[in-house]
Amino acid sequence: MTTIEVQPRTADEEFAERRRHIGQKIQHFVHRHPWSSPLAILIVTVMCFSAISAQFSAAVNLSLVLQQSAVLAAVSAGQVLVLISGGVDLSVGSLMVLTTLVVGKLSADAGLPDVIALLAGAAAGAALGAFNGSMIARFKLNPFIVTLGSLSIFGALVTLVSGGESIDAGKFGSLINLTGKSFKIAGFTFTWGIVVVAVLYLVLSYMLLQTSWGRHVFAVGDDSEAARLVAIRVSRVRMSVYIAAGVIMAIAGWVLIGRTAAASPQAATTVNLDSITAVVIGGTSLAGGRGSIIGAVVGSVLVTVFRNGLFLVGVDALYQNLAVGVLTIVAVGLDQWIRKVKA
Amino acid sequence: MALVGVDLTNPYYLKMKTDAEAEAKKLNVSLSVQTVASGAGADVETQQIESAVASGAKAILVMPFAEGINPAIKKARDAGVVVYAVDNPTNPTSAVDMSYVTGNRVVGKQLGAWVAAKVKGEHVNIAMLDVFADQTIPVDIDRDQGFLAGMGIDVKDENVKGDEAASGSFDGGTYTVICHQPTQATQDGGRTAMENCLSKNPDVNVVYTINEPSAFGAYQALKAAGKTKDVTIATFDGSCDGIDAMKRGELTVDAQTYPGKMAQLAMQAAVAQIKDGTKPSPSDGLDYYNSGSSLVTDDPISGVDSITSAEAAKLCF
Repeated sequence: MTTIEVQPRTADEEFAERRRHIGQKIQHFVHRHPWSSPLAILIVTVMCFSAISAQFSAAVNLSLVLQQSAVLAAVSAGQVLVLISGGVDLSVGSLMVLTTLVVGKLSADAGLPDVIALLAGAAAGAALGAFNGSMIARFKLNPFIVTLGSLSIFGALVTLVSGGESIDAGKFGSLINLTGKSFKIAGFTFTWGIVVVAVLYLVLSYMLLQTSWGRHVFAVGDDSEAARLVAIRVSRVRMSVYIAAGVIMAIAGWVLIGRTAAASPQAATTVNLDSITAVVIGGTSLAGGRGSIIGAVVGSVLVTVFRNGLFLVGVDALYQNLAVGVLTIVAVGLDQWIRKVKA
Repeated sequence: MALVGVDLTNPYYLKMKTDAEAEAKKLNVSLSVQTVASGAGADVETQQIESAVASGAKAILVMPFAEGINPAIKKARDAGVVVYAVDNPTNPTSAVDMSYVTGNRVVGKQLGAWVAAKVKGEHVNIAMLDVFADQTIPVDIDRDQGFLAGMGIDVKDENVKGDEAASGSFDGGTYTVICHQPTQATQDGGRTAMENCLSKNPDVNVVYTINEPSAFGAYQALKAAGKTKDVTIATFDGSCDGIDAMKRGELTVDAQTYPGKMAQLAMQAAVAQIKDGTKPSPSDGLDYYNSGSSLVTDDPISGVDSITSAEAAKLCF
């Protein structure tokens, strides 16, 4: 006589296989993949606009949307990093513009080779990021206040360095201007700036998801006290995050030069807050410790698609801002709901 | 004396500040200049007017952003301070003692009339690149509406942008207005706005831009789309950068304005009014003093006054 032995199941297994209704399943999925809900919204939005406006879905326009998203996406790469670490950076836009002026001045006025000018821009970005980082990590000042202050400081430096004048791209060499050059694939036009942003995201994803530094950034953002108890050097991690964000802004600045064909003190006036909008829409929590790098790209494209698409279907520009505002609040509401996920 | 509301990231205002400071030395008055960030609003300017009054300024030259500053101006005038608008007028113009401004509507009309003569007999697709999508800034409304009126298009309510018929006829042909897009008066804003307009209709052949930075951005978008040929780009400012761009063929026509002159004239008049109460008088038939402008183009049309880029290069800022 044979007996089949049935192992009693643990409570954990029972719980994992409990029946969930569809809402819980979605909530669970989105919790594990924070980029999935903005991506779904993006796909639905693109389909809606395409159905209403043939101009929207034209390859020429879709190419433009990607080009228009590039600078915002690059800035959002820095912003998502900072938010995951539990901070925030309101100075990203003016930091970026300042690095473009450093690059522009060194190339056009001092006549330095492009590579040197760009590296100096990156060094300037790192130094400015280190300024933010040291105030926040060493002196324990609130990141919101620090970067609000540096927004003004960097903005003033922009004016002082530039004297209010743009530097025309004609004075730069071909490497600096590379990000504005385009190539075609199957009817779509891509700029090298888009390629730069794509590489930036690949590197950042690797750093955040595959290295111990990345895990420390998540840990510090999730619970800095717990991180300290497991021997993570919290202030060092915070410092490194703002320095990295500064370097990313210099890369974003390079993309910006390509897009405006100039180093212009007036550029990117809306990007400071837009980057936070894009990152939050992309599924990153303002509370830190949870976020999606891919979501930041999706969020940036989504913001741009909203503005471009609403215009092409004939919605007044004033309502475009309204729609982006609603989108942001919905995204934050969704974030709250997802954070309530059980197990 | 105080100069209020100066955005130093714009060469136009930088020129105004430099010339005002030079004039202050000549007139032997002390001048404080209060700067603002791009996109600052009436609240910031109200504070600046209040602190200028508190600091004992006898005269305030203000570059008004919005009607919201009128109460602050009234308080200053009630306190016996002479207030002039420079650059663009307050709404209503009677809010200040006098306005020393580029008659933006007048200049817009000249620009529009030139463009209408240039594109005569064609069907034109017009892209309008403004500062904002709303109706808050006088210069934004005046230039936009002046331009369309100058082309001979019925603008309906002359204080509302974008309410004209989307298509119809102008002096010399038929038109379609493709878009009114906000640029924040910046280069990257101009590029994005122009790209959106081209997506809506790739056959745009007349581009109006609120200022040179937005025109430079629009040119980049047209260039990337391979559409710079046969497009008329009309703009305002006449800075040295703009005149250089025209020499390279990037701008068709540019209304050159004289920011330094506005500040100088206003300061001279303010000194006279403080000394003996002489109120300055406005230009003929206007309720403000028009510091003037010139159309700059290297493609002159007979019957419309203009100067060449070489001549404009001597006057630019």
